[in-house]
Amino acid sequence: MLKRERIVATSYSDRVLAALYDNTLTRKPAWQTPKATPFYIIASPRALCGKTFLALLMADYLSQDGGRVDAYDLNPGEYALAACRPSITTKADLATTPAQAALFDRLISNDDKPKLIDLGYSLFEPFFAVCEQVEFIEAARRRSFDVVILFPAEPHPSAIAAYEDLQRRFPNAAVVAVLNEAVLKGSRVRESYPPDRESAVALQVPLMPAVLKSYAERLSQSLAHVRAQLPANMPMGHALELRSWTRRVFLEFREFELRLTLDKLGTSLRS
Amino acid sequence: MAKPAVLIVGADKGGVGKTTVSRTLLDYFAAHQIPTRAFDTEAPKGTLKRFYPDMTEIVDMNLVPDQMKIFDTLSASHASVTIIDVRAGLLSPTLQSLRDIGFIEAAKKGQITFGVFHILGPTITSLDEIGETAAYLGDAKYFMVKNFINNTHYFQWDEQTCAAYFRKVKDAVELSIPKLNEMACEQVDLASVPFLSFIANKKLNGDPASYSFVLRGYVRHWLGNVWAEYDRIRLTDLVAARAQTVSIQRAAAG
Repeated sequence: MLKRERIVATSYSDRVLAALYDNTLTRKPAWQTPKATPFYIIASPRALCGKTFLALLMADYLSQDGGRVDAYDLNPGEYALAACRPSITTKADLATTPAQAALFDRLISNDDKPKLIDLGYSLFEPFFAVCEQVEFIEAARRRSFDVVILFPAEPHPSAIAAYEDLQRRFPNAAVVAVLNEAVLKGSRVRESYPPDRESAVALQVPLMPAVLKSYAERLSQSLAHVRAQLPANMPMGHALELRSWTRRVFLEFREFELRLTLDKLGTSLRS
Repeated sequence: MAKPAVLIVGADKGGVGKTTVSRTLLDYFAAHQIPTRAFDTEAPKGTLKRFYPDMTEIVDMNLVPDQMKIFDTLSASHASVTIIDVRAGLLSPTLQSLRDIGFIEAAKKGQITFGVFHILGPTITSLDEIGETAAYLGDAKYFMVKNFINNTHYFQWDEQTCAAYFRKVKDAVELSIPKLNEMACEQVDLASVPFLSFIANKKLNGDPASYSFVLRGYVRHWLGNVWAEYDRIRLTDLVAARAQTVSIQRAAAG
């Protein structure tokens, strides 16, 4: 049974504050926003579980066919995503209130560009604590964002607990486990990451053969380009294999987006 | 007509956040549609007046005409609640004056609702203030407010000593005001607007503002916690005004 909680203001005082705060959110009329803007947060409290690689894949997926994307790299000291995709990525931090304000004030502004956050493990809790305090997820939804937390799955109990915790704390976001075969190395964890709604079933990232990985890491161009045109600087066989792999991953993402749309459609028909 | 209520917010020590607490009270009553007026005793230039210019008057509590301005108009005023933000060091003298003019006695007879929000600092001196203040309280509702707004740690308060002081006032109620994010606090101060206007992203004149989403979120979260304390002590019941005010408004609306 899939169950979704709703947070409701309980006291009269709460309701007054909520009403005041909500009225200030500059919402676009429905005719101006026919489609919600995707907002992906790639997060795990654990290091070395493939967050940045997943962020890279999603950034490339969102930017295919001339798509635009605003990516934010929250990995102070590393900023690997910003190094790989400098033209679309902003380096960010949460160490001070001005830094938090600078980041979240940009994130909450919906200019119809999909947003993507590569959240480093050290900022996992600070980031979500701010989200809770300023009710970011609820505000983002009201501004026509579809907030999705992509969570790289691992067998470690702390990862499983963190996944459940995110589902509990952010009922208005889709928390989706990502089963990356390169990280899981054969571990079966799907049962440990139950979805809390139909659209949030775990995503599968197939294993990228080691030989392809070495080529992919040296690629200066986006995987979206590989999908459209074979790279010239690698053997044809590898290029075809890389394209096939990319297509599988992008198809997985596309199917997820469709599930999300169907889920919303079903909810709106029922209400 | 509702029984007038007078709430005094004060401390004998400065910098403990008296005006901040007064501001949260004014916002709370505004949200509950309880007509309220305020007096700022930081003459000649009051901080509270800067945030609530339309409902605040600056007075000098040492001057008899100003005392008359507050207490002789309690029944005549449209406001059922009067908040007095007492300047640092003037809490005990103010209470003494109130006793001298028969105000405490009137409260004892039930003609006026009287409450004191005593903002406590972290030092033992604050606890000494409780003893001094208690002598003048009569039947007032006494709220001892631990204000954490300045990142205060009540480190000097030994539990037993503390309890001994708190027992000096019968039916004293303890309140805790959490800390507001410093930058959010600064920005509201800079904007010189009530907390409610800041949350609603409005300037003092009601025009739209462009305050940070994050900082508004912090203020909203904080004010929600402060108001939860006021809900807990049933502040609207204490001033006994809301039900009557609403019924009057409904009657007026036809």
